[in-house]
Amino acid sequence: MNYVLHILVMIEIYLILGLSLNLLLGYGGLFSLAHAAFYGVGAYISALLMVNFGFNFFLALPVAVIGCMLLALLVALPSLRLKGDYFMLATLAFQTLVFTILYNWVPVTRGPYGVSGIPQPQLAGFKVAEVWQFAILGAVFAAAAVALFRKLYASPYGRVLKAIRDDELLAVSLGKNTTRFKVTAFMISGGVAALPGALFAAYVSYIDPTSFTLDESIFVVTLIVVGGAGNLKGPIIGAFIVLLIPECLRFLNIPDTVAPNVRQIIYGALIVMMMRLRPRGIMGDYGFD
Amino acid sequence: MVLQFIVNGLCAGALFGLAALGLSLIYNVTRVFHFAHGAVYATAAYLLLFFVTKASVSIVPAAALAVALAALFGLLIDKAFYLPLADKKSGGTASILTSLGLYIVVINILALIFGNETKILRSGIEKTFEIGTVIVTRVQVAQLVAFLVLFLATELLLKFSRYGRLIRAVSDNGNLAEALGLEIKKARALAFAYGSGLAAVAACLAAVDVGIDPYIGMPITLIAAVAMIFGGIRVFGAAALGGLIIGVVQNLVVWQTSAKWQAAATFVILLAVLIFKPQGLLTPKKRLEES
Repeated sequence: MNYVLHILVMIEIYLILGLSLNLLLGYGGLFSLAHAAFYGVGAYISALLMVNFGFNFFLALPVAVIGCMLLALLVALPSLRLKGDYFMLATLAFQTLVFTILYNWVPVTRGPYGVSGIPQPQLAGFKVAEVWQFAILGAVFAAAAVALFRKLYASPYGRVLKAIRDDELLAVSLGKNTTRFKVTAFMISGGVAALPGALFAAYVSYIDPTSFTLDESIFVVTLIVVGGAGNLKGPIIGAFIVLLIPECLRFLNIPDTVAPNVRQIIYGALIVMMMRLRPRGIMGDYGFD
Repeated sequence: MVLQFIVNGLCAGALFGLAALGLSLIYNVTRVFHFAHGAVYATAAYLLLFFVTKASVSIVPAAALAVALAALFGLLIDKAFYLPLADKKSGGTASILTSLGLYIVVINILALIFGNETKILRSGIEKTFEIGTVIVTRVQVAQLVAFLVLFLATELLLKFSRYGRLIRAVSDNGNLAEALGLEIKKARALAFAYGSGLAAVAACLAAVDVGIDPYIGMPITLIAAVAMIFGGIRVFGAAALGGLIIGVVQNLVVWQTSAKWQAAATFVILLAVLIFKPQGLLTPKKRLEES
């Protein structure tokens, strides 16, 4: 049972990551490879506040969200001056820089040793300790993210963002300050990514920089590519599919030494196949073609 | 002391420069951001390892064979994956994602075949030469020589040969070249084969120097991309010089701080160039294209 619940928690974490990246990728048309940086910084801020300063989880969480939004602003301002491949490269540079800092700034982040002994979330005497309790907390977070993005996509803000994606010049000619829209999209996306970060840190009670690499950014992109971009259901379906595939492999008795490689091969092949056969993903509204 | 770091930097930079020159040829002709360049690079290194250790071919013919096969591999990647996307008129994101996917698939297949751990091609102490206070190994000399020869040869071929002119024409304006009836597909094939070959030469020279693991390709590709943008897209030779400069800067950073900030230095350079001079150092000022 705990096994199923554990998978559920992981799906919830990636579902929120997928939804938040979708705001950039599917709505803004901004191909960012820096999402794991926000996920990681969210995890680190909340974990370090809890471990070093005895913060409560629910107090550390908003600080992490704000921290990630500021980081997003920092990433967005220079990157958004660039287009296409250059924009992607700038986000990739930020992803690598954040990882390098997490890994090497030992006095603050404890570098490769990681942060251990992260306490469990507590609220009014009630403690989130068991896997099922984390699954419920994750479900609450996921529901909040879904509600936020549903509201956002139905709002004029979401429509303007979509217009920018489809034809930026047109949006400018209608008097929209497109840069401001894109910067705020970056900040919302980064801020939401702090939620799964904090949840992950509290859930596994130990984090180190290797959970927040470029590969992780690519993984989040993969789930959107598979599920589809530009709406709510795409990333949700994508998170389920991409996280359930390795669990199915478990039953094929692939030895543990090669399982991670086999998993990666499947993910890579999925991306290539989707681009060739169905560039808008299984249920997406926006194609990468 | 500084001199030694600069020389080490030039040797490392020579390999970056070769990989960057290859990436720049491919990018300019096809506008494909070829992450799988790193997969070709790693494949070349493993081919060399296979020929030397399993088939006991001596190292120079083994490397030549590895380079030829890697060139073929790059060519096939284009034919099988990028060309169909280009025919469908897919945009840049589709080809970036495809190349990322290909990279992941290839390096994990390599890891399945050869294992995830680092493999050393040769052990024992490398023969060294002393020039004043600077010490260089025999492999480092080979790296510098290979860079100089291939850099000059590439420049000359691009300037004076028929195919070089074709490649320059297509990279300058693909649509116009097509309208004039030039052989776009041939230019693509040449760029991919030659560019992959250059990366493979760098891979072989790195493999004998520091060893091989399946993940060596990605950092090199990223550095090559930085070198390409740093030097200036559209000026082929600039990518090679960009590689040299990054190699030297990285080693100076190591000298001043420690090896752990090496990667950070590269990406700080990239961000600075992207923000302040996105057209690169050697490109005449020109508006940046959409993609």
